Amino acid sequence: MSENNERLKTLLLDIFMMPESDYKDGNGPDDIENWDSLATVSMAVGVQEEFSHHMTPEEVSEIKSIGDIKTFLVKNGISF
Amino acid sequence: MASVSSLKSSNNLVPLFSSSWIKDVDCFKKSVLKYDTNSTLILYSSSTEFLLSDISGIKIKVKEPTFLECKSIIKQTESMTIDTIVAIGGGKVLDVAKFCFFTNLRDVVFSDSIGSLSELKQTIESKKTAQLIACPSLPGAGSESSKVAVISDIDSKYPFVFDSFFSDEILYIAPLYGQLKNRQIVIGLFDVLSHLMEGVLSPIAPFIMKQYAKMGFQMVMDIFKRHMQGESFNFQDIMVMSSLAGYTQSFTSVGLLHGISHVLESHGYGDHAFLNACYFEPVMKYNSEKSPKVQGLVSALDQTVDEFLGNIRCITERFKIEKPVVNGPDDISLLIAKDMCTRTNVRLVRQPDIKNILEIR
Repeated sequence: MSENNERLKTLLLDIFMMPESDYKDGNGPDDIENWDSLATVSMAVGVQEEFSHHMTPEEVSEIKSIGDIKTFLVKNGISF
Repeated sequence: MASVSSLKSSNNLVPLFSSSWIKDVDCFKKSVLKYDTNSTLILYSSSTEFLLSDISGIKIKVKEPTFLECKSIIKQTESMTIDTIVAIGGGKVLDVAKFCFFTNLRDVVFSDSIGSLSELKQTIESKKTAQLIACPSLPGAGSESSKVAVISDIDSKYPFVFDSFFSDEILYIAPLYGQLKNRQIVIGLFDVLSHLMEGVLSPIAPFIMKQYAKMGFQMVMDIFKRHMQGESFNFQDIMVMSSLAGYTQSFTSVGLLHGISHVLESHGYGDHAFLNACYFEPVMKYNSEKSPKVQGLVSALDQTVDEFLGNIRCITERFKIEKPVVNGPDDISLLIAKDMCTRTNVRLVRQPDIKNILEIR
């Protein structure tokens, strides 16, 4: 697993308080119990801190899964 | 009502609330007597009892904002038709008044078999059948102008947020503030400042609320500055700022500082306002390390972050506001990390960060 993937995983396990087994690209709010609207805000704050990329409200609203977060980061030059 | 003055604030914030400044006890009595005493219920705390001599009508002393207390008040008043509630006191009295009389709680069938609020909370709805006259007794979270009420039960604290909780009128009763000690006022002001700071920094705060919170934050810092230079407190400004904090927090939520104070309060480390005062500086320091928002907030005061933190430390040292020793089982920091408030903080909050702030080694 790449270093950036490890960083994202650590961040999301912290924010969503989820077991490691839930860290899958296809998983989103319907699959992860603690992924509610507040956790989405927290995720955006965490991504900005960890990867120095600010998510606009529109970009946040397009995030539907862990894979979408990776896609956002890839678009901003972070490789996975 | 010639004896009651309309409240004026230097920043014209008052139009947010319908409010009056009551100069003395006689003015207060005249203000309350204008309501029909047969359908007016006065809820009050023990420290405000002196206002109520010679006032007839139904009066109930409120002790704690617990579900048990609320059930008792509902039972005492179940046969009454009430069109006005006058709530005099701090957040406890106001929260109980809101929960008992501005929800459908009185319609809910009561029985002793209902064990806890957790069983009922999903059935509680907003309901307004009376007017609420709020008379805050000290500065703080501004319950008199918020749509939030927090009720405790055996197992937890339950926040309820309903539009019906907004009061119809706020009466600021000057004799209540004259009896406060400076340290109490400073601690109350830190509570006000905490709500306003979290309002500015909250990632979910609407733009206009951020602007109100920012203006209030600057005014509270100015009140502190003038007091440190020897001026007496101006209670009209202080109470308007407190109400502004209550109003904005209805829309902005709270953050890490309240996550800490809620959890520590429930473990007996002190009350909410005191804990906010204790941890204001370390939380601001933590947030300032990565958040440009904090730097923007402080630079509007023409201060660097270090100067600002130094000024806060001067105030807490002068008034002997010292952090409690948290004997650090990990679960305290874990409970704070899991608190919903930490998720609306301007920075992502992790357990090691909390241990640093609490100084748990």
